[in-house]
Amino acid sequence: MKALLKLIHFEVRRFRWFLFGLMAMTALYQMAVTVVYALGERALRMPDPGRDPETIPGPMSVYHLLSRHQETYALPVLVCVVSLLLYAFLIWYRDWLGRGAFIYRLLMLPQPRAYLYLSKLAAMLLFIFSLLSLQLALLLVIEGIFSAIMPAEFRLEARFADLVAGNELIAFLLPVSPKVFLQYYGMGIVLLLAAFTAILLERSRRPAGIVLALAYAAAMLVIPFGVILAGATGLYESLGLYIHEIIWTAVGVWLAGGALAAWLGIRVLNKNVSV
Amino acid sequence: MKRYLLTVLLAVFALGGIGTYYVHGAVHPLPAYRIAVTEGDEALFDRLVVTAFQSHPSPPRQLEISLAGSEYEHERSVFDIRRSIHPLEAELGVHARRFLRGKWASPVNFYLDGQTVVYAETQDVPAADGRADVFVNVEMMDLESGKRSDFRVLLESGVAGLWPYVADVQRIGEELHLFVEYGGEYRVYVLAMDGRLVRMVQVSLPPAVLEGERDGSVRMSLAANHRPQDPKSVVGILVKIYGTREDGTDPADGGQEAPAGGTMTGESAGDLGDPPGLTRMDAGDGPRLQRIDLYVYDYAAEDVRPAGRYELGGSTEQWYNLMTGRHHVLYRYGENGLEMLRMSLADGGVERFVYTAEQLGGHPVRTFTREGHLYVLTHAGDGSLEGAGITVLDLDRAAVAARAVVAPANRAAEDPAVTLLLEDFALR
Amino acid sequence: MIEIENLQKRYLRKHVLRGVSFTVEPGLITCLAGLNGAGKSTILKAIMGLVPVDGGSIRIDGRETALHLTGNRGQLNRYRALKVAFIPDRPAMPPSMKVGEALRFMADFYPAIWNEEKARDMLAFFELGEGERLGSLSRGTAAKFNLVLGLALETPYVLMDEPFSGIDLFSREAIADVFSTGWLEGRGVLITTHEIREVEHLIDRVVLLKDGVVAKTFDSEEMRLAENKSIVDIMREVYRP
Repeated sequence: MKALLKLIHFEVRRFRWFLFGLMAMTALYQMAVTVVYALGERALRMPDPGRDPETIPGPMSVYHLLSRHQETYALPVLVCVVSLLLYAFLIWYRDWLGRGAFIYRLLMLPQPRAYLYLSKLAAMLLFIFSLLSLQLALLLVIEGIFSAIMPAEFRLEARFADLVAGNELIAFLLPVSPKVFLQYYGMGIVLLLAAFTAILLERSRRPAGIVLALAYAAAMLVIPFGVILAGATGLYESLGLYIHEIIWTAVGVWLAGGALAAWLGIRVLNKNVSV
Repeated sequence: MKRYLLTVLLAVFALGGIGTYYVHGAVHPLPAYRIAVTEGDEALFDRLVVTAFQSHPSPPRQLEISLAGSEYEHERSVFDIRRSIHPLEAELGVHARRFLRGKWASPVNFYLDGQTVVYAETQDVPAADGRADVFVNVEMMDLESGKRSDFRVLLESGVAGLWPYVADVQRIGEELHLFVEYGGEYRVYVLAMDGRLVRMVQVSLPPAVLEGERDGSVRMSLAANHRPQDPKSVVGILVKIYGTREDGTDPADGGQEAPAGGTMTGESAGDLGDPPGLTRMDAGDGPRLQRIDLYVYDYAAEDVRPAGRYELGGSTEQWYNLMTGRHHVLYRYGENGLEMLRMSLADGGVERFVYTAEQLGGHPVRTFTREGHLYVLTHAGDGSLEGAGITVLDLDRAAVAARAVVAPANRAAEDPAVTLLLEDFALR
Repeated sequence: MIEIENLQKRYLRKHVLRGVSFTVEPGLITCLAGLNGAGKSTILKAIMGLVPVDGGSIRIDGRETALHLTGNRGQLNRYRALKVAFIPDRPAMPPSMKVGEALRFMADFYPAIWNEEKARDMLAFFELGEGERLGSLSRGTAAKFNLVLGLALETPYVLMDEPFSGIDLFSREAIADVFSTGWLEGRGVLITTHEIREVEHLIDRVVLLKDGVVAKTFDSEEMRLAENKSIVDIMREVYRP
């Protein structure tokens, strides 16, 4: 068990500069953009004898600032998302780089190979959730900047829930309800497990491996999503299933898919993977 | 431990941040509401759900409000899916769930007396030349024993472009009578219990009606029944007659000034002026409804007879209808209130009832009927909770049966800056 | 003893190993020789569980460890790691890692068998500093460091894959010296190499691979005494008849 934690620490450590880079980029960008926009909004509202009072906008909240600049605030978040998606693959492939690659060392370690799978999974989850926490902290910072720049008479109050709702991408990544969070990140973890297993399939029995990997990936995408999409065709009504039965079946399929992915991935790692 | 500081700190930051977010969300929830019954039987509101939009200086969020509380749409997850319940489940007893699998929820396809349930639904099977053969699938079950018998009967063959559907199911003795709407016409197919088509009865209305149908000045539709699954002796057919008045005047111009105060009146039907306390809603350019004649098809006699007439004097508004065991009801509503015309099925006499917005507790937004009750959703129109509620009218007694209001369920909902706009409601 | 029996391996159409059988005795240095592409590296990696084979058995001190037969279940990965140290032809560590960090890595994950003192002795013997980045080491230095990582693990068996390939003369001499130190004492060593001449005097047994099978196995000392032939002589006989 302790070796698992050491492996997790190893994986976190080797990615730390890139992670800090993503965090710094997101923080600096969102803060800078907030300063610029807040100054602009303040200037718009400054009393000016030359302007028609009708055109001066009323007070606004930081929610409005966020919701008016969707793409701007979403951009660094998108960069983080894409980076993590890429690293979901690179976290494995970087070990195979070059001859005499590091994967030799990892496979030879006295610890069960399942630890390799689990440590990379745990590291990815840490990266994802730490970036989410960073975004939450940044929303507080953004509100602080806004309150510092905008005088009280130009400002409206906003709930924290509204701050999160301000940007569509952020609202999607940080749902208000913990049950919805569990649902979507649960699905995401299942997909991550499937990706890991597909990578390991590709890394065994080459060149047939890539065919296997693609076939597995296709199955993992089609079956769980297919169960859901088939509902749209009315298939379930004709089979006489109640809606809650359909939903619970879909949940079951996803859970089974996740368990199968982990089991298969670890099995391939033990038995079939090749340097 | 110091060596692993990086990972430990990262884990604490990651889990702590997200944990704090959700704890904060639980401690500072969005406004919550509930339906609070102020008068009458709570059971009438049992499965009622009101859809609303809540906003603050912030994004509008859709939510559903019921007796139990409110649920925001964006907070729904797979973990919140409840067991789906067919509206007729309670009446079908022990074997209900098995029988109701895969069946449409509309009660018109069902016939339910105390002992058996019958379900009938049409099915088009493609035949040659782009035509179709129309079958009816009949399933019957004894309520106590759960014993079932199913059969399938060919009703019509080689049909082109029509969509026949079952509008009512009756069992009379050992025969099943299926009232079918068939491309604008009505027919009754009589089946024997062993699965044979015994005869077909063409439901024929007077020739003037049919002629009016052809030139568009007359439109037919079936009366909505408050409990289609019950055994009944008649099916109501509404015949709507359009056009200008016989003396050529436009009825809208002759409207009287609305007198002060609204009361329930027992006036007999006459020309419609503006009822007391209620202004006419929409004097648009649509076709003017002069009157609606109610005919009934009698299952036993297998023929059609007139039952009564509503004089509407060129109304352009939307009228809704419902037939209970003893009455047929026609009603319309607008911001100012609701007007109801009630015809006795025994003698065809029509009474008029008016409920103003004050009497209803708010401006009517939506209505629906269920089992002899008319549910009216009201709101103040300004997003506040004043006047936001539901009034339930008992149609047979023409009286208020129950009232409920939309009440705040937590402190956030009591904030006067928060607005709640009621959109729609339904019984689930 | 490491017992290899009837090892089979196919790469697409190429049937590289067609039934290889030999043993690695404890305390002896066995050399696996063959032409390029004969599959020597593959056999070493197969023993180490880095490459799955299509058939055959690999037993280490009596316990079956072949991936396809055992699924690598239970504590097998650990058993194999504690019994056999593998020294590949390149240092299998991230290039950004420093020498000291690599040593800490090994100490961290092999607490039962990592000999820190031995590692430091070897580091001094090879004159390697701790602060150097692995990526910036010359091939010779990297090869030496590789030996440190492998030999400081107290395992009864050591596998070396081409320890001399592509390395400068002096580094090669330093590596060859290792064989005379006590660091290989009592261990069963399996080494593959082209540079037979460098270590001819050190090798106890030779296994010659040809066309996917073992063509000849012999004791080098006996062969020299009995037939007055060197290893190279025998190889010439087998490969160029």
